[in-house]
Parts: sequence; structure tokens; C-alpha cells
Amino acid sequence: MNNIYEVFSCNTKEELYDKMILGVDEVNPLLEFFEYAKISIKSKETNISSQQSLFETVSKITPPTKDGARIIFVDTKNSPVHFSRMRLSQKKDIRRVLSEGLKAGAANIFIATHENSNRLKVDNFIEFSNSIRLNVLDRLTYLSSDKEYYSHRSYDSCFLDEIPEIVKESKDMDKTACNQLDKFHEYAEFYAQQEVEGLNIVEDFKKIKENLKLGYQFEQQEVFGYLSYNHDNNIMSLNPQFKGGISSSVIDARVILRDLLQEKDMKGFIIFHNHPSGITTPSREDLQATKTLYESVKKLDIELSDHFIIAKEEVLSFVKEGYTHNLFNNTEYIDKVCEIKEHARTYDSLKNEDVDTEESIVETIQLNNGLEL
Amino acid sequence: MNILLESFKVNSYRELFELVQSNSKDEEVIELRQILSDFDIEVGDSDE
Repeated sequence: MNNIYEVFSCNTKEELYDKMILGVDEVNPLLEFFEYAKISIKSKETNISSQQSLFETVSKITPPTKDGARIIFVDTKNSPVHFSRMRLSQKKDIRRVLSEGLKAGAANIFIATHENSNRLKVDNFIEFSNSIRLNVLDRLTYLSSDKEYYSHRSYDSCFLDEIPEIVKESKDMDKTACNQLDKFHEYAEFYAQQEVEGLNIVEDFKKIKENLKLGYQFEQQEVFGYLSYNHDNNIMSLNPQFKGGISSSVIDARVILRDLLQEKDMKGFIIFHNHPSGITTPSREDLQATKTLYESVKKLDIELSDHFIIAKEEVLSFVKEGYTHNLFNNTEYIDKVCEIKEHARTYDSLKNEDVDTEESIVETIQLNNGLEL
Repeated sequence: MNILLESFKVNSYRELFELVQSNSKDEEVIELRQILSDFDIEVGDSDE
């Protein structure tokens, strides 16, 4: 075999580590193996034989995202044999995961999904998995706002003391690699700043979200900032304000106003921050901070139009998802975003008709592996 | 296709984990063990 860096199309160790830290799809098998290793090291019990041991196991892995389920494959003694990070929206990935589980000799599975995962897709997966005798022994739902797993079997819950990260900065990463990563973040932010300026907050809602995602989706620290816009609703500037820890970011209204009030022709602003955890659900702190900021600016007749939360896979809009909707008062913007939401709903209902039949998935797995089910 | 499993000619992460835990002198296994260690994942020996 090639050396392990070449396997993942890298020339050096540093290049591979950069890809891992950024969570590039190409190195997903390595990240999955890291997760498997974490759940297999120093476990009190080698088997997942109780609710407690299941909670202990999932507390070591990165929590599921809205689209990313976590699958623990176990043998007949409930000892983990394989682990997958599965994208619910990608049929190809579901096939890959099932195919790998079967090849690993799994008898049963445990699945963890996010509270906002598409329920139909999760139910379809569970139903299909059971039908091919990969029995789902328990399903856990991750409630990101409370950092809590909920068991659908026992109705028990477990809270996470801290959210596990799949990889932290390698202790062996040299300064060059770290500098490259810093430069990447700086460039991504610079690019986003260039691209959003001049966009119209009403007409270019999707473009604005896409550019914010490009700018901050891989940022390891929490960054808070705002987009200011003029009376034509055109974005005047993107202003990163604070960098905080991974779990919290302090929104200082005084500092925001200091900068905001210096912008000529400014009508209002949209705030944003990123969630390095990958989960966009707003925390209580996020909701409270939005409210506090709104209270501060409304006395000055400054419009607050939205709050975006940026993660690796998506950008959440408070207006679109209906969070603290009574705080936002740009009716033209709200109407447009709600219109987009309606379109998305229609599209989702069409997409759901395109769910694979069990037969076609079994057929594909058989074709791929020569297995008889 | 899982290129990591294919490269090490194993069928599951458990088999790969056991390989890494073994005292294999295979260069790639040592390399993988080193990568895990660089990210603070110490797998120990299967005898431990």
C-alpha cells in the first residue's frame, strides 16, 4: 500500500492533519476510525450492555448534526465492531454505511440523530435496517441546546459535561501548518467580506448565507459579527467583532453600537456568529443576547433584521426558523424570507417522494458486495 | 468503498483497531498509530 498520507491524496503529514481538522469529506474514514478508537479505549465494559454503557459510549463521540447521524455497529454480544458518520440526505452514503456494517459482521446497531434531523429519513433508515436484520437496539436523539441525549427505548437522558471534538489541533502540528490554517481562516473571512458587500438583504438572502458559510464554516473559534445595510437594503460592510471560546461568545452591545453608529447612511444590521460544534440550533444565551441587543438598538431607531448562526453544513436564520420573530421589524425582509421558506417546504415534499425503496437498496448492497440478504 | 479499510485489508474498524493495538512492525500500522497519538488518542497494547 502507499503510505497513509498518499492514501488520502496528501503529500505530507501536515497536509493530512489540515484536512482532518477542517473535516474534509475525503478523510472521513480516518475521522470515523478516530471515533471508533475513542469509544474502544479504556471502556469500563467492552460491550454496550446497559443504558449507562450506551450513554458512556456516545459521550465520547462528536454529537450528530442535523444531517449527520452516528451509527455504532455491534456484534451479537453488543461489542462495537464498526462506526459510521452517515449523511441522512445522501442515499449513496446510507448505502455505503449499511454495506460497511454488513461487511464488518454487525448484528445490531445503535443510532444517534439530531433533534432537527428529518424524521422521515431517520424512520426510513431504521425500518430498512431492521428489515435486513441489522436490528436497531436503541435510538438516541441529541438535544443540542441542553447538550443531552435522549433514549427512545428507556426514555432516560444523559447530559454531556463537554462536547467531544473529533480532532483537536495535533500536538505534532508544526508552526507552518498552524500558520497555513490561520491564513486559510483569514482568507475565507476576507473573501466573505468582499462577496457580501453590495448584496441586497431582501433579494440576495441565499447568496448572503452562502458567503457567510464560506467565510466561517471552518472557523474553530466562535466569531461574532454584523452586516450593516443602507436604506436600499444593500449591505455596506461585514464586520467581525469578537472571537470567543468554542462554547460562548459575549455579545457586547456597546462595542457594536460604537462601530455601527459611525457608518453613514446605515439603516440597520444583521448579526451573525458561528457554531464550531457544527450544530446551528440557538442556545438560550444566543436568544437572550439577541433580545438584549434588540432592546439596545430600538431606542436609536436602528433596524435589527436577522441573526444568522453559521456551521459547517448550514446557516440558520432566526427569521426563517421563527426564533424571537417578534424582535425583527424589517417587514420587507421578513416577507421575502417567509416566501423562500414556503418554496423550500414545497420542494421538500417533492423530494420525499424520491425515497429509495428497500428493494433497490438491498439490490445495490448485493451488487457492491456480492452478499445475499 | 472505504479506502482506509481497503488499504489495511481489513473489514471493520474493530479489526483495524486490533491491528493498531498489536505490536505489528508494519510501517503503515506504526504510522497510523503515530497519527492517533499525535491527536492524543493512545490505543495502548492489546495485552494491557
